Amino acid sequence: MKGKTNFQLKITRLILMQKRLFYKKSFILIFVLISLFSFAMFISSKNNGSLIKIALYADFSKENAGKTICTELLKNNNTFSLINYTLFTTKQEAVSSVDTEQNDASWIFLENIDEFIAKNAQEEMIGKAVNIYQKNDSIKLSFAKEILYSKLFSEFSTFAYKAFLRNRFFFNNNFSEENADEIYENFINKNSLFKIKKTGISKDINFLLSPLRGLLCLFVMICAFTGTIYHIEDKKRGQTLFFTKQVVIFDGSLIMIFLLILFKIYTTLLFELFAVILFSISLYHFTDILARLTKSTEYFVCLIPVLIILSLIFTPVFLNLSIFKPIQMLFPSYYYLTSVYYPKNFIPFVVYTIILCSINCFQKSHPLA
Amino acid sequence: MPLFRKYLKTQFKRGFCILPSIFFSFALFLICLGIPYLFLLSRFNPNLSGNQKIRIAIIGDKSNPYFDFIMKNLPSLDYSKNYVDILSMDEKTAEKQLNAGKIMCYAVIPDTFLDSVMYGYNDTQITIVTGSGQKDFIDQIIQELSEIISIYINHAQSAAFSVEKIIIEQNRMKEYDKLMNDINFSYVDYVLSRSDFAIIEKKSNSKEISFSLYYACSLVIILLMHISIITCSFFTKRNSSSRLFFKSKGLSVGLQMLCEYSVYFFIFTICSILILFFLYLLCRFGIIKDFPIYKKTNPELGMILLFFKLIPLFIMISLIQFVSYEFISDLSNGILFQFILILFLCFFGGAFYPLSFFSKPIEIIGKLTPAGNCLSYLINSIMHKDFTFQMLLCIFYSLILSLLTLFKRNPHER
Repeated sequence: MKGKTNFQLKITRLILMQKRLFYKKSFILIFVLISLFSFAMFISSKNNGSLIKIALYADFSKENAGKTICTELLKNNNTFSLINYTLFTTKQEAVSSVDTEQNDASWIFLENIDEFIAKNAQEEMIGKAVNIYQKNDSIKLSFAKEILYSKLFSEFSTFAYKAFLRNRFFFNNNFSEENADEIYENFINKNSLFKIKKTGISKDINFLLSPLRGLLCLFVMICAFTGTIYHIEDKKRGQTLFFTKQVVIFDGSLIMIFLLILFKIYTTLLFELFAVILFSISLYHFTDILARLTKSTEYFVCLIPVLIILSLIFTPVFLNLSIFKPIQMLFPSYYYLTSVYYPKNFIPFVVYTIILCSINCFQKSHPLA
Repeated sequence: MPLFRKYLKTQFKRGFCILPSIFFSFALFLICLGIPYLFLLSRFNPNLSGNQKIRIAIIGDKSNPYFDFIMKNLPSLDYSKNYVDILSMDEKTAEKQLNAGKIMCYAVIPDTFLDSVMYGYNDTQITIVTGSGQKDFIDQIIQELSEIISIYINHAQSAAFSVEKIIIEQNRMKEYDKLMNDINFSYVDYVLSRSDFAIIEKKSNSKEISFSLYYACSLVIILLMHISIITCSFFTKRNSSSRLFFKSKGLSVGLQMLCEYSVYFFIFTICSILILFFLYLLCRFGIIKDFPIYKKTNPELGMILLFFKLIPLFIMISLIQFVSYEFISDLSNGILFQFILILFLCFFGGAFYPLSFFSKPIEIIGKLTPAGNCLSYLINSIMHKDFTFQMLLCIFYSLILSLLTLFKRNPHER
């Protein structure tokens, strides 16, 4: 190593450490496995998965409200929809699909649905236009029913309006039902009155793929833990190899960035890089502090499952349970997952990293700590 | 046989060494997870929650009498009374509260919005702002709900404006107020009685699992899977020279493995008892209300019976972990490998998302995967449903895994 500068020496050590890790087949296997897992998640999100499954039946042989509603609902079947609709050709099939747990509910539109709606509009709700057969009532089924009611309402509204006109006004040669329809249609506004916005950067991702970033972030966290174990084991053997932990974290972060780009769930390259650098630094210090607190490898290893499960529940991997903010703020993964989408959160992330760094340096320098 | 006993004794000694760290891990787990879990369920369980509701902020022109009317009346509607707290604040405070997790979302009503709806221009929109991050369930639900509200408003508005136009065209201005009131009130009636459009029939004899019980079962499976990380030092500190020594003395590899597995199963059983005890505590303190075993006269006996019912499941999971350490036995990579294995099995087994959320082919495959099978096994045994198929599948997996372990062990040791 003679004649090499300090920087060159560091690079050589880094390459040596990398070689040492890649010498282990199991290390490479792990990276292949995490890529496969991400790919499997990506594939599963491409299929029409959904929160609620609804079986539909309507008479498609003639034009009626049932057919219109079903056609409209079926148009919503895509990779981002919460409800998946399946059209059945017979009532029995639709009903038995609920019995066989294929669907959560079946909506059977009556064959003479238009008559029913017209009568209801005329005589104030005398009959039911749809038969719903479902499992026990739950929030998700109530939510699905609200969608059905709104679709029925949009069909019913025209009938109700015409019934009102028939009772209160007179249709004649100057003013026919067609004129009334025309006026009504002119006032209809198909646009939504609401606009959904996110406070930070927004990204449309299927709900099955959305936890991928969080799970990859936990993977990097585990990499940091195993890097620490490598470091402790090396120390025990009297080996003074540098960069053991850093290289493992670096490899984990690199594979995470690669997979995020591959499956198109990254925001901007700048944010991603900055966030991952901060995340790696914070993880380095976080695991260092824990290792020094636990003192033995056995106890340190025991912390890993506890921390993984806590991160899985409290940091926004699946859901952002912000009611647990004080608990969330303990984990580096929380800062990473929130700052990527909300650049303002980089400030607390930097502060958190500085705090961890200071605690770690204090522990290192203080003989009693 | 004395050799077998001797080897078993050595393995047990090794096993007992890691027991303190297991207890440490579980104590930590109970403290770190138990308390927030209790808090979380009490927040979302209406039976326990008391006054805990979803908090939504509305930002608008307070001097506008219609806005004032909405703010006074919205909280008294049935839905909002039970589940939602509607607050009025300025946008900066709302943004701060949203970032602090104090509110779920906020709606900004532009000053011109109410006039725009009243006069039918519909040229402004209410902006609903949700928290930062990827679009999740909540965002999609809000999107759907806002579309529903839009439909009601648009149609009611169209009917009212059409009637107004006809009144003017037919020159019936004397009846204007009465006719307009009639059309508006009849539409309010239709919206309120919207459930009358359908007749609902509920599936009879459906023994469905509640959301909280499903996730309690998932948590049990995830925890059982994580035992392999807690106990990794049992596998990583195995000594191949002692194995070779016993082999040379005549103790076959199969018997050695039986000894090692017996000890691991013993440790695994202790951990699973602790996990079931955690489940018992959740029921004992009323966090899970619909736990069928706990509804019986002697719940403690029910839990003991549940433990015995689940033995094939314990054997299978412990064997998965035992086999995986045969493939990767060093400490650091072993943990990483276990983590990915847990992710894989739990995600596609329905422990993170219920399998019904996936497409049909994945749902079917997921139910047959070890974690999916374990989850169905646990749920069926808790719900007093038939679990023969799941038990047979567990036994089948266990046999395959035992053979795999035997063949994987270092050939020269064999």
